[in-house]
Amino acid sequence: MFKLIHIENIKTFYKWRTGIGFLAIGVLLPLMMIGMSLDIGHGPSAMAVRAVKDLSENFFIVGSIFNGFSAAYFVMNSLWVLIPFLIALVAGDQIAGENAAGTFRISLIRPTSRTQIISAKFITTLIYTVLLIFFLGLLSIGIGILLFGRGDFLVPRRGEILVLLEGQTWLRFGLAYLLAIWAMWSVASLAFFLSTLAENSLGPVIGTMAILIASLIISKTPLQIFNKVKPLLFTTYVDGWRKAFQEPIPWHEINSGVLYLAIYILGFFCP
Amino acid sequence: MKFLYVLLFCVFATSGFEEDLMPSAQEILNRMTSSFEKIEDYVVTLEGTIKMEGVNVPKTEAILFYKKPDKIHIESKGILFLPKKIMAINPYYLKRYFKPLSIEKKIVKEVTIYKITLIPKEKRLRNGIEIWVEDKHWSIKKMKITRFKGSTIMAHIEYTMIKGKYWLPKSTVVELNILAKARRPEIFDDFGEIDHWEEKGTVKTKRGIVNILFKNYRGVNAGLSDEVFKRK
Repeated sequence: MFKLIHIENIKTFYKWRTGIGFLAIGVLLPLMMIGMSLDIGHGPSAMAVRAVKDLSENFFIVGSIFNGFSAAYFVMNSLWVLIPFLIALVAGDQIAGENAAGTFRISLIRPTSRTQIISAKFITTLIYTVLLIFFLGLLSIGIGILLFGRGDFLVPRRGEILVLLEGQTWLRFGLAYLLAIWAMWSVASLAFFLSTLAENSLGPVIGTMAILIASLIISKTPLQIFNKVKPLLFTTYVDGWRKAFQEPIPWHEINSGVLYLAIYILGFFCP
Repeated sequence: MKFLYVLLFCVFATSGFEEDLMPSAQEILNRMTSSFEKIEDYVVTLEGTIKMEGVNVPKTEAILFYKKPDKIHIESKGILFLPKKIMAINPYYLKRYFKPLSIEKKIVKEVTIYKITLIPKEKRLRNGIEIWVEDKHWSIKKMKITRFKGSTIMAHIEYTMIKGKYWLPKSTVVELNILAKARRPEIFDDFGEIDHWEEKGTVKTKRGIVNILFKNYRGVNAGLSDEVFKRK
């Protein structure tokens, strides 16, 4: 099985399509960070100032309220449409791409079972997701700290001021990225599932994005008519990574979110 | 009869005499300034904690650089919230912007405390200040600042002797009772508009306590360079 996964990894990571995700993040993220550093006083740094506006009338605020962690947090908030697309691009190609290339006929005559092949491809998709999020995290925090420095993290929240110590912030970001990986695995599973239904990879990619955006709209729109449907949608739980920055951390809510997403991940994979 | 005259003289003379002994508010401000003048500069570590509704900030340390009369520079690796009005504890600031209105005298645990009410010299300041000054070192033990619309800030200050000759703050507890989203009336004064916030009357009060410890005084009157105060 490990050999099979290794082969699938080679097949996946040698495709130029897989590099698109890393290239897109590698180009866009530094541009965003440089833009933020040139735009101090506006944009995200101004948001940090607005968050403490009420207190600034009566308090001197000593220290940097906008640093590398703030920039990384802003980036995480901004790329929630792009990252699922980049994941769907690879996940949607796993089965449909090989179907279109006609190589399934060759691989399926070998002694390995269909279940093993599909499982190996699925695991490869999950590995790609982990590497992409890890790359995003490394780049955003790394460049953020390089340009804006580090220190305590002022979490931008409405109506509340929360400051996390630097040591705590590292752990919280670690937890946030783990939860983000778990959430993106649900997107990857959906794209993988759609890939088994299609004959070329374009359909699963577009289908995944269409379902994701429609579900997000339903999840985020505060209408009575959607309230009964919201708990059933996986998009209701994909922003669980934000809970890592609450004090105290709502473990109960995080556990429920992780469980619901696990059901979707397995549910999309099992058929 | 002679005894009665002597008794009457003692009663009236004592009351007058006591009034003569009590310094005026302006004199007390001058004594405070003289006492504070001994301090040229110093460096101290601040440790601050804040307990306030909707504010969750951990204990943070900062380094405060002070140079007479009013130069202050603070450096911190973390994020520290320092009450602005703590700067009013500086007697130079009080003398410059405020004038005394009244004075009262109390004796608390054998220490004479003078309560002075100050009003701003300039109308735009709109702060009323009451200070409680002890007569041994002429330092402010307590300060109450009343702002427009009833916000109040009460600071309790404890002192310690540094190097056997400098009387400097050891700790400060600041109790805040501030209005959240209170509008500044000055904005509307120029245009003569109705202040909608006043009309609605829905301003909320936020209460909080800030504790600041002054630890590890160093470099007292050591000649701090002005370059320090130019740092960002």
